[in-house]
Amino acid sequence: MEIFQISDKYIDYNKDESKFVGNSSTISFPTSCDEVVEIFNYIKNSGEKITAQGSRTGLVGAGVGLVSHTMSFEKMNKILDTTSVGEEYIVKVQSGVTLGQLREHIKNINENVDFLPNPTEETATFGGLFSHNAKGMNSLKYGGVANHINSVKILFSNGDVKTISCDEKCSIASSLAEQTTMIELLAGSEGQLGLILELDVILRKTPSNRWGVMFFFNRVEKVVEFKNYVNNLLEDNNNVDLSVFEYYDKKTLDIVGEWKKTSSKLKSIPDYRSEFQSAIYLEIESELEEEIEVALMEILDKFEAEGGAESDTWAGVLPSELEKFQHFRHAVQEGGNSAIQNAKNIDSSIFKLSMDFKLQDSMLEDIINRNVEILKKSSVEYFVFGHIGENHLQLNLLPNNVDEFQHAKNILADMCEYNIKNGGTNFVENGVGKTRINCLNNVVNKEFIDNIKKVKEFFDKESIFNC
Amino acid sequence: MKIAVCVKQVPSDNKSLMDKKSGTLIRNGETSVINPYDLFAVEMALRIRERVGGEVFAFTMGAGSAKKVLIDSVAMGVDGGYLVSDLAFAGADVFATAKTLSEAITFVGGFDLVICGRQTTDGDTGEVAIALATHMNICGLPFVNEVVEIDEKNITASCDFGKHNAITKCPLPAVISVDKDCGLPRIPSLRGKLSAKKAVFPVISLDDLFDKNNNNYGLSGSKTSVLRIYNTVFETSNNIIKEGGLEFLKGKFESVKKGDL
Repeated sequence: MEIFQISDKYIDYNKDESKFVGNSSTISFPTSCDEVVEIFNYIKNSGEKITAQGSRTGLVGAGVGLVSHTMSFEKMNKILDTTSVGEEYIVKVQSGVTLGQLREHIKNINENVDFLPNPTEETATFGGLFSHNAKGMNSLKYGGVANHINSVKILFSNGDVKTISCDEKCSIASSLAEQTTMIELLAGSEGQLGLILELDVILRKTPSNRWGVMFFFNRVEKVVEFKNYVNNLLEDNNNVDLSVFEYYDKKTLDIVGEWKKTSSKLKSIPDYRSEFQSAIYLEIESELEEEIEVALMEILDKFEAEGGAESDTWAGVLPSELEKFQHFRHAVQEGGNSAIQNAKNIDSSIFKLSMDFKLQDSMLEDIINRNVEILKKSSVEYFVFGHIGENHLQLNLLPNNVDEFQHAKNILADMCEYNIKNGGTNFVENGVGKTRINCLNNVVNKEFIDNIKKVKEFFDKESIFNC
Repeated sequence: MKIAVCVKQVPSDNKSLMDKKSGTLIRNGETSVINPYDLFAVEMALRIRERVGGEVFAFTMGAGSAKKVLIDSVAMGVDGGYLVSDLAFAGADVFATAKTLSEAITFVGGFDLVICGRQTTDGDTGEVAIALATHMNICGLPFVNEVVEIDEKNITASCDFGKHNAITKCPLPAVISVDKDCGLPRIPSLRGKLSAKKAVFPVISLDDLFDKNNNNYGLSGSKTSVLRIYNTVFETSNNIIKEGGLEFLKGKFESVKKGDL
């Protein structure tokens, strides 16, 4: 068992992609379940706290320790077993295995299966993905990571190591409104309930045909109408599934355009016109290729009827073509994190502030048409992108200095409150972590917070994990 | 302006097998893609068309599966394409490939400019464009990274010869090969991608060509043969310099300055 002091050598383990900085004093890098248990017992008996950490790709500081001990799972990186079950495969992975590692592994198993939810961060670990119940661009069809996990091996705060299968219920879980199974409860709990040791990941058959299309808009006010048209068109079509439906505002396009200049992954993406006011990216899947083509022709007709130009579309079918669009999507986060770096160089306490909102239709329209007073009055730069198909957008604020940073925190809190008043919900994805905690109290109903407290007490009475 | 652009189907990875007897690639259409360098040739053709007007046609030589690269070209915006396909064309080297393409392009006729990618990722010779110009008895400009001027009579282009760029003017018709820095290939538009799937491509076979002697094509018309094929093994080593590190670095720095490294 090795536990290290966090000095200069390990200082990067006290921050994540959000640039949030923590203050853990010690760190360990277990390589097996036995080592995790050994370190856990030692830390627990010392009366210290433990924060579980993946590969620090998180956006809300959930894996960054504020105090005591950080347990990094980056060396728990072995793929342990692969079994086939009908058309599917179950891959047993240690929690530090990354999405990229699994993708490489899949190439050697069967080219017709995949880990279908597609969080774009290849270096994210499965422990982290599960702890945030991460969603990819295609969450519209495939949901979050938890829907593709067969079982989880977890160390609870009482020292028990248990394997929880996907259909297992628990009394505390069934008493909560929406979360009925243990897996659903543990997924997205941000390391609060236990240490994830291993996961059985389900690989499912990939669709036979998939098209990806980017539509660039010259006029932002056409976006919502286009979105509604596509949703209505495909809602009643049983032969095709809309799996990805993403929105990028102008600032997002600008950020990706800037990031593209230095990113090798984006080098095959051509420049796009700076006049574009926004873009929508959608992916359609079907077993019947012709059905996709018919649907896409109708969508293209609508796009052109609303003033869009056919030449302002990009289309792809092959995995290598679709990969470009995925890189584009991933660059939104990377570019956004890079955009905050200048301010961070001035004051290290500044970080990008973001929040994801599930919006009612009217609020969605207001945000896309830039008609929200809170944002209109603000001088802090922001960008908006996300799953427009589910009315689920992410607002990111880019303060330039400490004053703006304080102001941005208020904007975020105001936006959360405003969204709740308008019938929406907050914190749908990416977690609460440490960067969003100040937004939590005023904007989530008391019953919800009480439920969370109940669950925390049930699993971690002594508040050992991620405190 | 009527432009021909030559495109080739190549293996998508380096795991393709060689036929030990003939020394040629065993091609598998399922795992093949358009030669990445040819995407830049298509892009250049489309940009010239946008500049001066005209039509662009893609030519590819290969089996039926090679039609896929014509579809890719049309998806990008090319007006049409020709599949140059006959058993007699199989196993061609640079010389025979250029001969076949020159005959096919001449058969269709009326082209002012022929554009090729700088090289292919399978053969890697980078010589087909100039061999094509030679067969067609017209001017050839290799490694073009910019078309400076073009009109119905002449093309002026910047050619990248490593340490030097040469701005060269030559009369049309001409053949050029284009480099990767001539402009990023566009992503196909939705309509382009949809309509390309329905495109019909005429097949040009030996019977269509002016020279019908099959000894001038394919393996029998080739001037080179492959003796041995082997995978390149890249060896790397980490040298730890314990003493004299500064002098070592100074030496390397001077070598870089002189252009020796």
